[in-house]
Amino acid sequence: MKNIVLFGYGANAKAVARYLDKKEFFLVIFDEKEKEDAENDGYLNVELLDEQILDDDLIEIGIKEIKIAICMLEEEARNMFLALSIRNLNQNIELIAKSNDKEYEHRYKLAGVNQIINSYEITASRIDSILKKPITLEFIHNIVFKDNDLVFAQIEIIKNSFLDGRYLDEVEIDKNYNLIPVGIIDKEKSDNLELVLENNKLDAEDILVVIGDKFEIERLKNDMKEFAKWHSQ
Amino acid sequence: MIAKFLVYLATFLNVSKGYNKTKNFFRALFEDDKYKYKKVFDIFMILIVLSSVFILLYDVKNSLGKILYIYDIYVITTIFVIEYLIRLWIYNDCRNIILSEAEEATFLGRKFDTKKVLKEIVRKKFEYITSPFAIIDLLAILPAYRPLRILRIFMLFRLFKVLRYTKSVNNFLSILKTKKFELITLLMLVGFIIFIGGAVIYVFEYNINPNIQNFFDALYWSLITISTVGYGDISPVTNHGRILTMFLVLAGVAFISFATSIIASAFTEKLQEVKYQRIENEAHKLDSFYLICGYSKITELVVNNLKKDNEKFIIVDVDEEKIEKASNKEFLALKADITKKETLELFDFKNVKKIFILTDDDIINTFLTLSLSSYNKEIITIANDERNEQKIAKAGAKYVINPTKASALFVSEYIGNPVTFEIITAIFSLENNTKVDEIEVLENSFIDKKLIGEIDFKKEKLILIGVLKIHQAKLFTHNIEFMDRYFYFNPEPEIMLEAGDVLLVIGDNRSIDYFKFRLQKSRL
Repeated sequence: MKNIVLFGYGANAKAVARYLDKKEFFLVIFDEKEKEDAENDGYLNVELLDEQILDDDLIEIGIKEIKIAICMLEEEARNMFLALSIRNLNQNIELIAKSNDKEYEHRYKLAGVNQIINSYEITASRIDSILKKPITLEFIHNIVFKDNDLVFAQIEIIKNSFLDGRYLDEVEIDKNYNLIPVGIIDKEKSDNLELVLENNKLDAEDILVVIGDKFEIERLKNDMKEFAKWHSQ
Repeated sequence: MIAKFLVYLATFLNVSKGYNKTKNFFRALFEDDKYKYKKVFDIFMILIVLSSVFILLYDVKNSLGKILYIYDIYVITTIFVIEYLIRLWIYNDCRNIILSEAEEATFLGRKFDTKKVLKEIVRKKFEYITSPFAIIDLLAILPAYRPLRILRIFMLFRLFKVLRYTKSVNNFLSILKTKKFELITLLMLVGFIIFIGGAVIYVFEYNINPNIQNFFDALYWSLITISTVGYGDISPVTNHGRILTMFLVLAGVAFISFATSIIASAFTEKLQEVKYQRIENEAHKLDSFYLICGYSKITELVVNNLKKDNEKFIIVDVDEEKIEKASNKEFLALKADITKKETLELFDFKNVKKIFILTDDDIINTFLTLSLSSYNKEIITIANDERNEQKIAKAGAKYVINPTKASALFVSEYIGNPVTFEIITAIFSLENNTKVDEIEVLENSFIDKKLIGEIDFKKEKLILIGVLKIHQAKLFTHNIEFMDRYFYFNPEPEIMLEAGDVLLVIGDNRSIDYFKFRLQKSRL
């Protein structure tokens, strides 16, 4: 059973499909021609449903157990109807929907969509980043999309480890592990991810987001575990 | 002898840099709307005119003090006389008349015709003197001659001078000019009816109506009636006269509506043109702005962001409807083809910070990128189809964004690495108190030519992520290469900073701003 379902195979859906891992998702299509397109592009696991978007069909493809649904139908009204039908059948599903009109965003929210994808807005904010933070943009693009040693990683602070209860500027993980902390979920304050400050206090279960070498990240995680074990003995 | 002197003088003036520079300066100052000091000059002259009219009104009841008198008679008049003479001077280039005659004479092997040349010069200057504006200028100078009290009334002509310095009034006049034929026809018709009406009432009521003593009274009555003003100081007393009045009033209403419609239609025809001209002027005056080609949905979002940051921009599109839409949102928008020479000449590309090419058509985007890349290298273009991304980049765009791909990446990050997704959103968000920022190493600032280890980032309350160096640091290997520069992640303390390098830091807004402030200050 796959966890992700992608609805539709128009221009936007095609692009999304390309960037997702084939093993993790399957396609659901309401249009004969789109199905043909998808099969020609090498997607074998394609479901063709009645274009009326019927609840029974959705149940049959297992919508109640699926974790993430991405609604990418080209027609706005149908896409919204699809999102609403899915939310109706599964309250816990992570629902992502495409909408290219800001006017509809509110309606999608009402339909229970968690994340709206507006390609115009994404493009505009990309342009904004080019104007304001061109270097940051390039740097992040390099870490996320290009093959090099640097990665983003999240590290959970283990109870009784040498990070637990210490201030960020004391632990010097930049010197000892060549890792730069960038974000933190400081459970003391909130459950949201924020950018770090040098005086953030680390506590067990806080999550630290760092940039650095994969191996160094593993080394830090291991050291934390071992220290905690040693400390509790 | 005179001929020789004239030719010598003309040749001399033709090559004299100082003379031409001065003349061009005054031409720009008086006539070129795009010249930045023209506005200052115009406002100065308007103030002078208004002050002189104020003095005229003040003088009616009060006596002028000595200072005001000197200001009114000498200062203002001198300025007006100088302006008049300069305008007369720059109206045409007399040297060209002399030179062309000299050329012709040499070519045909005949004698230089001094008389013809002088006549031509006088004719040209006279042409200026008799032009309406020159007459107004001259009349505005006359009130300075005090012995003739009647000349004081010409002071009001100075108000007409204001027309010279205000473009909108000139536009209004030029609009009326386009309907010259209709207005003159109307005027003649009205004149004719007034005359007939006057004549008829004169015949009917002379000797009967005590208010109509002569033909002038009859004409006056006719005009007041036809204009539907109807003071009532003269009114018809006979039935014949009353019937005539009814006709005149009806005709008057018809004429007034006719005149209004002529003027209104002239305005609608011309208004668009005037609007474009105003935008062209504004575009020319912009300094440091973004040039945006194409008004699309993305443009709308981009300019909203620019507006929030108080950045200046101008939108250019060939589609009238789109320009109308942009203008309605109070954006500076120009309907023009940006690839045409006359449009390109409107902009000073030194002042263009970046060019955005954001139409919905990739073929047009590519064409525009190709056309504009020689003017400015900082081009950001949209590729609506991913397959065209490479082509547009080759055409000269520095950044090419494919909206579909950008959203697909967005989705894959959101699903695949939610934490990375969130941290990236936080990094680019502008609403937090903490931010990731780029700090450029300024020349001669306190961090220029310093080793990284010498700067106490902890004390500055900043976290250094890395540094983008313009030159490779010796003995150290960089992690990533982009923008033809070298990025050192978590850089070694021995790496030296130099002007142009950029530090990537995380910190509290205040810490970052304070660090930047000290950087600027240390250069002084």
